[in-house]
Amino acid sequence: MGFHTPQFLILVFIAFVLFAVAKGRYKLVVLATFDALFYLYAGIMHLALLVGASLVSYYSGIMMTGRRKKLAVVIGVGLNLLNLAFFKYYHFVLENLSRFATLPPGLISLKTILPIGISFYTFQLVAYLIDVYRGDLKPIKSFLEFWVFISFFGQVIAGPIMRASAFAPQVASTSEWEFDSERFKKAVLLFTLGLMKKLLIADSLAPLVDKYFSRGSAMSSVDIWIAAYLFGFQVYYDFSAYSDMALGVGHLFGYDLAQNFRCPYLSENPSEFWSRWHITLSTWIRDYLYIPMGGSRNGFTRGLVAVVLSMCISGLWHGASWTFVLWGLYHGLLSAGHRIWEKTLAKRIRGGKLIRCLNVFLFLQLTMIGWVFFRVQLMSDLVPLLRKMITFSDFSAGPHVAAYLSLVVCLYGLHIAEYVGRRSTQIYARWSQRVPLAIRGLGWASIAFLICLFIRPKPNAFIYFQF
Amino acid sequence: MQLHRNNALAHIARLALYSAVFFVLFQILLVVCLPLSTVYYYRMDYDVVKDNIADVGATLDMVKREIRQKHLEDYVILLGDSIMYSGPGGPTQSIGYFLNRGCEWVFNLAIPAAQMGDFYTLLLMLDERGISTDHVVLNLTYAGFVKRDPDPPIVYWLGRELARLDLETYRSIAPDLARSREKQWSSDPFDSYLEYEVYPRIPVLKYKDFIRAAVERKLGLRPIQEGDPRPWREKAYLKELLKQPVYRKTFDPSPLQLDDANPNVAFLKRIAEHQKGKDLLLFMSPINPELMQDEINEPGFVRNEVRLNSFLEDMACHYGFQYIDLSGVISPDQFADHVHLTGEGYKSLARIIRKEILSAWGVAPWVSTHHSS
Repeated sequence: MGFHTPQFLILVFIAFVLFAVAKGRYKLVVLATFDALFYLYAGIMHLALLVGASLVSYYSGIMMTGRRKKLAVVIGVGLNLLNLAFFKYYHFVLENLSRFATLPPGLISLKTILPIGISFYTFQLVAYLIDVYRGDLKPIKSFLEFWVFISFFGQVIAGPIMRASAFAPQVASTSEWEFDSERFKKAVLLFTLGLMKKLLIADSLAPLVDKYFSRGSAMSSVDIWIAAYLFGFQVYYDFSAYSDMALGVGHLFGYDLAQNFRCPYLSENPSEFWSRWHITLSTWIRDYLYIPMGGSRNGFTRGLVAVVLSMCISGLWHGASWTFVLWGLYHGLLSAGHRIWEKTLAKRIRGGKLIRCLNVFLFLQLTMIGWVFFRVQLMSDLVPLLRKMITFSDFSAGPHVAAYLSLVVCLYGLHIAEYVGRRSTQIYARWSQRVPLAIRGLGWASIAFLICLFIRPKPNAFIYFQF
Repeated sequence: MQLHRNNALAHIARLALYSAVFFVLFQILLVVCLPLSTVYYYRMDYDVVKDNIADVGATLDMVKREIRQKHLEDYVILLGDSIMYSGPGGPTQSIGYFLNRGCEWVFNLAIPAAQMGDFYTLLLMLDERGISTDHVVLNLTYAGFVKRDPDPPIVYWLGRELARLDLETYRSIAPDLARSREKQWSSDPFDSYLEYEVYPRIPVLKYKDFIRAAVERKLGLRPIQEGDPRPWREKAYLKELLKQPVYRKTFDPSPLQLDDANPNVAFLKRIAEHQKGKDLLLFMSPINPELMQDEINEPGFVRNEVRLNSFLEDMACHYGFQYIDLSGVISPDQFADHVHLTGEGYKSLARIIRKEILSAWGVAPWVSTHHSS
């Protein structure tokens, strides 16, 4: 059930009304029930698996208060990772093994489902267990609270990957919820913003992107650049739309979920990019992979190896395909290259606004090249496309190139506008205080009209739902 | 605290009320201002309708608005498949366009891939809206009478509408439809409820697909979904393509079953019953005699063609409609493929239809201003 479907709006509406009416701890019961219902929509097996993973993690957490702390964390983390590995990587591993050895046909023909949101909730559970093991967190005692912490329908499917230290206390105080008009307005505003990003921008770009990439390596140099840009913006507006809507749903029930995006295409370098793109995943990778691997504490070279390895795993987390691993490797090499640059040449160059703009422009091109790894359908298309992209060897332009280039410029303009809008937090407050109610009503009616226009007969699922 | 919360709630309620009032105003404006050409331009907008078949209803509602606004009384409804629709060319290369030159009262409601059950359902949908079916032209194809397995289903697009408007007939074909893998309507009850019951009541949701498509086309962001309208001789790939079973099946020389057990015949009879006392012109669509010469010269095909023509002529006498066989009347040069025509081909076909209409139905107000194309 996508956040942009009428089904979800109905579910949220009913959940919110019952939640607001319920007293004390019953609020948590309402939320827990709707979390289960929301996930059940994907299928009973999906729900059973989530309940199973939650029970294992919950009891592992409780066990960690006893003497068998290490065993509990190994069981908890191990089972969660095994669960993820089996459902997400089983066929990928077999497919690659079958190149080197003959495997029993029964193994290959085994059909598995990909439980929706498994990558997200597994990482959230693993982080919880490690935090409890490290002593940074006390285990959640109530299973009801634990269930809402892991299955809250505002974030279970595609994040943000919440840390228990930030989210569990909020869940524990759910029973104290009271209607807050400012929070409510913020919730509606964020949800509407996300809905507009998804329906008006991401879903409008989807057919254009599909059309380009369906041509595979037959694309010209100009086409592949346009395709990469369009996909880059599609994936951003799609995922950040979901994240904004998740924040909105969180506010509705009194929760502050973590922000996942801060206008990433305005980044000057890889480290800035990863502090702006899918922030909760980046920080997870940093805290539970990069730092345990030694981080930058074991010397410069080992730090470089750790960053490249971490990014490769991050790529694999996105999908069971070598193209995702290569995408991770590409970003890992960019990060490593940037560190080398910082250590050697960067100090000799004076910073300034012009240099910053140049950096942003250059890094944007590198990011767009990266999206080709992410989106390309056939591995065999990858090298010819990258070669054409970098060498400009085939300069023929297809129809509507001018229109598509203008579109790319507009999309970037919107990205900058979002950056300005998010920095100027007073804009909405001024709008509320100074603009007459009737004009504001006209504004909201126009937005509702526009959203209605972009409801499609077959809604496109959010891209990150597949991960 | 309580007072502050009540004030805040009252403020939100007032804002919601203003928004609702403006939203309703927008709906009224949309209904009044939306031009027919956004939804219907000489024919159904197949590019839009194919993705959401509920949009057929929206198209019919716009046609009805046009009829009411222009006080039309005598007009012609064209029904059929991709041939009447006039694929693969654009709307200004279509039968609807050529027939409308000088007299704008022809509505082409053909939908590519539509089957006899869809034509019958469309007639019921027109009745429901009070759109006259006094003058109807319908194209038939040899392929329509060939045995189904069960695909293509006898109702390809409008199964949900048929179930609503004629449940008994729908039930009679339901087992075949259940086995069909090609039927094109949503089986999700919630989606269907929204598309057929909720959205049609809110104009912006009812016409959303057409408005979006129009804007995207204007901005050059929507790929044009038309086929290749060049003459067939310029398409080297055609001969190979037509060897595929899906195309070969449409010229099947096995003996045709021409009784009620053939759903095409059963639905044709329902259409004929529906049109009793009204004007109905059926024509058998032409086939490219050069490109398909092997297929149409097969003894089985020839025997079937003779039997089919005689069967349809008998039906025409019995039910009182006009039937013409257009095999061989279009020059091979005017075909775009095995059955579809070029712009010039559709112009010729429109000329023939106009002539037949005039001779069969006489002079009517809708042809009073016509001039020969």
